[in-house]
Amino acid sequence: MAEMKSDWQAKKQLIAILIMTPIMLILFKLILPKLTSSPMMRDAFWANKVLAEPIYDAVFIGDSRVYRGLDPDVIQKQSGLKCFNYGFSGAGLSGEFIDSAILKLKGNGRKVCVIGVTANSFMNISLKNEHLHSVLNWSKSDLLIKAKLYSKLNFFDPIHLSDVFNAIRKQAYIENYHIHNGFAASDKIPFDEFAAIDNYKKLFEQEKLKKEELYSFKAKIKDLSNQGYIVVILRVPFGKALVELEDKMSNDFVVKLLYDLGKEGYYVFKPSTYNWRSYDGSHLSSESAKQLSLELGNYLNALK
Amino acid sequence: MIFNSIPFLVFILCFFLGKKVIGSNIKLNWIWITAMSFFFYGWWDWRFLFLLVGTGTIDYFCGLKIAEGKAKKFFLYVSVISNIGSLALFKYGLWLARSLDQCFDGIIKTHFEDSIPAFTYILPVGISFYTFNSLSYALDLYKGKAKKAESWLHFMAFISFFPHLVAGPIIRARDILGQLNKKILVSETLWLNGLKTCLSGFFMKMVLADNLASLVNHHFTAKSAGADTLTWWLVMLAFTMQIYFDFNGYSSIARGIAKMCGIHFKLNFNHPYRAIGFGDFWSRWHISLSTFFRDYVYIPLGGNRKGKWRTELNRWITMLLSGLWHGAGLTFILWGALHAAFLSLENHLGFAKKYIKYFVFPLVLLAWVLFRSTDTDQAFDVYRHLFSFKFEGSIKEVLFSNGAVWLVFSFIYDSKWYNNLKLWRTKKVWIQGLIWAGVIAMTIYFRGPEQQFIYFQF
Repeated sequence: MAEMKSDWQAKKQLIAILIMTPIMLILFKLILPKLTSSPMMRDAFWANKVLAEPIYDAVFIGDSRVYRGLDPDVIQKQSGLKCFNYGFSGAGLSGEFIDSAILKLKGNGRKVCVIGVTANSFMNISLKNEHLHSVLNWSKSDLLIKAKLYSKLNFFDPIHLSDVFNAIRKQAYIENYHIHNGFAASDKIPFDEFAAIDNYKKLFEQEKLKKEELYSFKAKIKDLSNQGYIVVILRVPFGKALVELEDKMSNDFVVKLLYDLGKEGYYVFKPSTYNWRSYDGSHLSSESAKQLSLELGNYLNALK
Repeated sequence: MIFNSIPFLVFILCFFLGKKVIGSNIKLNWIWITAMSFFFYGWWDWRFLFLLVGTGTIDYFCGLKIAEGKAKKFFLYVSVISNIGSLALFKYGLWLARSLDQCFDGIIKTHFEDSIPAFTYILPVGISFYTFNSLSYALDLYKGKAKKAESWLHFMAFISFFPHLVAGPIIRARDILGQLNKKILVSETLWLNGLKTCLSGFFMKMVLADNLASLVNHHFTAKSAGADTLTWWLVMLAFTMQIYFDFNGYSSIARGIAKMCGIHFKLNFNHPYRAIGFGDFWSRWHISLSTFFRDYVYIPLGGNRKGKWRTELNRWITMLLSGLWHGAGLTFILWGALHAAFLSLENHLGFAKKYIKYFVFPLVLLAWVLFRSTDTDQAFDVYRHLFSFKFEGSIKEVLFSNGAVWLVFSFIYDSKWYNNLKLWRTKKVWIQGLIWAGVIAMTIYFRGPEQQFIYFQF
């Protein structure tokens, strides 16, 4: 008898949990701050980059300045080329990375590689391409789940306590992931053009730029050109103070590289003198990214 | 497949749905449990299913022979060699070969590493757990403490039962075979209790352990440069709680699922950081492993029955083996040695013994440095930071971090006060519903970055 009573009690409890759970989930969602950067969308974004089919005319290769600075949709509209952004965080321009990027280009027709160069992309730490490898190391099932499900389940995004603190302080890091094309429109509230300076100083003090890698890079793009790929090189604009620091600490590494490549007959795209705005000193705001994409789109259109 | 993943959610729903259809038919239950457990294990790497089935089958046949009383000792040795052999090959083979190559380096060129087969470079998930489960069968049969399995399927259902398969708790044949061999009717009360145990396990793992992991991993991968003494104490406190909630979380999920199937697993953790001595700590921490080593190593060696020195020796052998069980590396052996030293010290303290309780937690924390470090160099680097008394680093940054907030909460969560709150034991249905719905919502929204269970690597 007591057992039956306890079972009936358990049944009632289970029903109560089942009813209360969706209510609690909605209540939490209403109370907790709205996320300006979704961790589940982020995972879907990276998984989709790896799983993207080889259907593109143009692929953008580089680090976070590339995937936050070049919007394939805008460029496609201007140039008529089907574009995909294959940028990864802290990416180094190794042959292996470039090879994995050109796999996204379709087999026939025009094949354009837009490569964003930075001094960092020739540093030892970047050339390991740890971020790219970490995504490639996800199991097949993980990749599929993240690519296909996460963008639909982002109602259940995890909330970091720092998101709560930031909401109270009215600060935010905004990342709008364009899962279909590999672009992340980014902004920060408030803007701080000097935020990245200290980290970059440390980085340049600790890391050496590898000249041998520069030679391999040049050999790689020569090889791509010989195979019929149209290679376009650019330096994505960023905060003025950081540009000065990077040029000073790298002994004008990128400036010299662009000059050399231009002299060797490669397409070197030079953005206009537009008032480029960076939210942290290192990456373009979404508005500036749109402007840069417009300019690059026009440039690629003119190349036809 | 890990418990805190979407595929597992689908898997477990299918499992219970199938179980509902099968009902209490014993043989169909064995088939269902075995098939689903193979699927669960094969999701990670189906090739290692052969190892699981292979060693399991050897143990089953050895068990048959031992039970028949024919060449009992011989078949016990076959079982021990097959289990310890596969464990040695996969877990210690590469490490041993590398260590030997390094040892002889400069004297003679050896190539032990090259002679190790490539397939052993991958450590099969849960090998340390399922080989011990399987081994306990032959050992218990030999001692007459267990009955033989009814059939190969009965045995495989025990050995492969997915909740305990990859990260324990280590279960004994004598505890489980009997439970699997009777019609189990799971009452609503038992099912609900199992669900609650599971949910609290998920909370411990996904909220507490995973949020603490971010703080710990950041410092252990950043090569510790720049962090000061206070920061490192905070990081080690975080790891002390992380490993507890990570493993206790897993054990709770495993116990909960088993309970929902009507099978009882013994408790694996009993508030170990409330221990008042090192012996007490080991009777509360990873209880299934401690008792395994006690019953199958320490006692057969003579335990404390052969004099003072022999007791010490037995204790050290047991603890060193326990360290080695955790991983192939000097850090794990040193970790075992440190705990052996603590236990020895505790036994020779005399009047000072009553003060030991104040030292258990800090010393256990210091031993975790060895456990967490990738090598001895990193471990000694961390010890240097812990005792350098340099107070000019990044403590402010760490104190206000996500991990630090969860560290405070993890201490509250494990406190007597929190656990004894009358609220948790209320009989009011709607309050209970509210509490557990809150636990589910918190687990979903406050989960940390997805991490594997620490004990998967063992």
